[in-house]
Amino acid sequence: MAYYAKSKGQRVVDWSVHYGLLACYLFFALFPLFWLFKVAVTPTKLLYSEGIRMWPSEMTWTNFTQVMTDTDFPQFFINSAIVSGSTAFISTLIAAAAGYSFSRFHYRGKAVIIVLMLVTQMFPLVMLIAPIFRILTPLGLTDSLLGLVVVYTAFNVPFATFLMQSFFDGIPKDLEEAAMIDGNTRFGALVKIIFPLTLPGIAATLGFVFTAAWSELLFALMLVSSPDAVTFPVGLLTFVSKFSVDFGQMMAAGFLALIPAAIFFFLIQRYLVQGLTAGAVKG
Amino acid sequence: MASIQITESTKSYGNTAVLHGIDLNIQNGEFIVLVGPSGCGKSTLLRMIAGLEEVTSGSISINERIINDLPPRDRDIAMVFQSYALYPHMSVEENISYAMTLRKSPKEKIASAVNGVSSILGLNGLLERRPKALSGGQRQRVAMGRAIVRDPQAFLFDEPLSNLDARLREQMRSEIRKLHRKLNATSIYVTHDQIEAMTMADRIVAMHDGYIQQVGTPLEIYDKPALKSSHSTGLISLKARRFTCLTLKKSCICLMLGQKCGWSLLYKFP
Amino acid sequence: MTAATDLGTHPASRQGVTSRRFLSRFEPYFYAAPAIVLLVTVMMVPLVVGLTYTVRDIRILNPFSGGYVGFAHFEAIWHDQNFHNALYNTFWWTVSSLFFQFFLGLTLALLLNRTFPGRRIIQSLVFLPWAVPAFLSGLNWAWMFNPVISPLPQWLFTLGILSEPTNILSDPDLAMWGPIIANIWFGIPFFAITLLAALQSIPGEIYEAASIDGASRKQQFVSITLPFLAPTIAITLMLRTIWIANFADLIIVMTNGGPADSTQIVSSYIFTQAFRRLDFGYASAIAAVLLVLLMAYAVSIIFIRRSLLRET
Ligand SMILES: Nc1ncnc2c1ncn2[C@@H]1O[C@H](COP(=O)(O)OP(=O)(O)O)[C@@H](O)[C@H]1O
Ligand SMILES: [Mg+2]
Repeated sequence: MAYYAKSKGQRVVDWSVHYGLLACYLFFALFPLFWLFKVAVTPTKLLYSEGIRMWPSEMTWTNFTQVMTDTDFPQFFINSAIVSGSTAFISTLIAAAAGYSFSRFHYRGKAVIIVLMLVTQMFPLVMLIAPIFRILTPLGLTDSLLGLVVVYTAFNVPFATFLMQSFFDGIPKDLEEAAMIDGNTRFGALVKIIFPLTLPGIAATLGFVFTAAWSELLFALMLVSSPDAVTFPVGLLTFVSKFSVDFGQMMAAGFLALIPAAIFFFLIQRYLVQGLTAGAVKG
Repeated sequence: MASIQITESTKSYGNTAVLHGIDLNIQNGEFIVLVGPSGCGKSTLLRMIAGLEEVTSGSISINERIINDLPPRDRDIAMVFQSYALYPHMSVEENISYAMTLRKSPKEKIASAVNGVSSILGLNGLLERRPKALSGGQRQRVAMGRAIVRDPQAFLFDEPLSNLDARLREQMRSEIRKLHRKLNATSIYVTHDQIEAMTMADRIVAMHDGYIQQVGTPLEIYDKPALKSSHSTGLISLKARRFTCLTLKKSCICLMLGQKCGWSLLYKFP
Repeated sequence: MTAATDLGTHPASRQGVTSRRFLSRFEPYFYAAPAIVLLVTVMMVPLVVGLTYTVRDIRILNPFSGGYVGFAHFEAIWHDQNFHNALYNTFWWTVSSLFFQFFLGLTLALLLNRTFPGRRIIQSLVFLPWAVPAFLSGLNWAWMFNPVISPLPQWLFTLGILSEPTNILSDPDLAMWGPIIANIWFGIPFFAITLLAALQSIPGEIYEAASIDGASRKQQFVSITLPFLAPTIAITLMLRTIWIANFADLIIVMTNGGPADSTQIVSSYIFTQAFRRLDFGYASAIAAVLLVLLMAYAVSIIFIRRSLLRET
């Protein structure tokens, strides 16, 4: 926004309102996460008696250590990491190729493909569970991490493609044409010239897909049953449906689950804004 | 060095025809300027020669060999873009040497070529910089350097000077001419600026609405403008724009009262 | 088209040339192919299969099921009070979530679209809820509304929003606000990110020109910012409406549709039919109805936008 000449008093009021509002947002965004952490470090015996205290009179890490040692969570954690990591990697690769194609070429059928991608965003995904289950069973892909990766990749590719397309749109076409004249094939120009320039976009897409895959519950619940392939969300949910729920452990597990996605997102959100801006300028 | 033949070439995007039956023979070592109003198809023709656009029908050949389906990298052509299209993540040196690196030239050869080019273009102190840290004029020079370092069959220029201010433009014009005399490489230069066309060309190709309207030396064009649609190319309007042009036998001295730039002296020596 | 190649003076290389032209013609498809293959096999084919379920009797635990039932499911939906209730709830769930997400997201984007000390870290922190897995925010917010273990009900009571510090999730009149608040919390960053990106793409000179022309800040917002944001707003509102209407995770985790079906939306109702009653035929029929409604919505929005654009 532009700079405005203003009196000092006006400026003080202006900035106080600005920071005041931001403080409200910060509180709203972070308080639930703080509370998650608070419950996780509260000893079980104080959970209800000190339920509404801002900080328990006694703090403990036992919930965390128990989650790590006494439960299957480390396994779930690894499963989730494998599934989300592979999904992010493969989706971004596929979406980058498709986004590049949308951004750089005009061809017959492109509009149809784009509409199809938009339509997939409208599905009540619940509807697909039974058919997907039936398709994956003979392929031996139910109850396996690979099956989850395939399904998640398909779900995330449309949005990731639009995202990547907007990043490519921000890079002038001249650059790869210059590279092609300099002696690259189109693919070579893509790899050597365009790819390094889209790194922020790729980071943003990776992070976006990773967080989406990390959160997915429904399909993980339906497609996977053996403990070897259970992901974090499902593991957490089984916690809830167990007879005696250990809330402290559950929250500790939840907090641990939060960390990878949060770190990833924390690092990439800047590029997300940047990349969408670059695309917006052109389109 | 190369001669370029364009035979009955057309270009359409879907159902819209952009170029209609272009015929043009370009001699070895010639400096051709394509001139015409914006949107008349100059860039499209240039990009077809470069291999960046498919030829809808007809043929384009270099040294009598049809190259319609040859990808750009196999045509041995260099091009200077209007936007310069410098690789933002590479230094000036890497930008200039990129084509040679791709062709796997030996290191010493690349180094000496880069050295030669950068001293011709006055880029010596800038080799380590990224394009972002250069002025518009310097970027333009890097784009030129990237083209000439390869010693290609032909040079293509797409309005390479239109982003420079008037003084720099004039300076670069004469430098490009000087370079051409030195390298004597076939060059095709696109502009919508008649003065640029008049002062730089061996032969001018005047285009309008996807047709070639007239081909000739600057003097021929000036003396006998095609009358078909005299308002079109704007070359004729030179007279209307209060030009005083003294034509000598093989050179032209134009004295012009520009509307924006005041008096300026345009010259073209033999 | 082949005339050009026929003129070729190197007949020996013609084969290579035509195959190269063939390749370059198909290059765009080659880049898009993996995405298309994946979408068709994992989304379109299951969708079509799912649509065939809508006219069949598919109950997992019933060995005699599987037969063709025609439009029986759709007839049942027409008379299904629970479905009507869910449709009504879906409407409120979507509209109120969207309303607050959008306006709070827009305000946040405007706040972040200035340079100030600490901006980068604040931005990262306020966007964090987007990264929290939906089921986890559901669990956490269910926890937050419990007066025994969270101060939130007490605060709401003190602020005069609640008449008693009770758990709103167990009050059929208020329960819907629980998932809605969780959804707002989760969805603000999405709007903030996309709108911030759009804001940052507005050239600063335009504001400078306007302020020299004497436009007040409010006038600038109305005459410059909003028109610039309009395309982004239109597309994100449309996408988000559809996502939110389909988004059952929070409700399933927080209330499971209860109490007394007061938070049952169509997509959670589909889930209940499919996985609690194991009646996939009926669930698919409801899903098809929802899909049709959402597509009608999207098409009408696009249509309205077109005609608005044509007028201006
Ligand atoms: N990709 C394209 N699709 C459709 N029409 C195009 C495309 N590129 C250029 N054109 C049209 O072709 C004509 C010639 O364009 P161009 O060669 O860029 O003109 P010039 O360089 O002479 O200004 C213009 O009318 C332009 O609108
Ligand atoms: Mg042009």
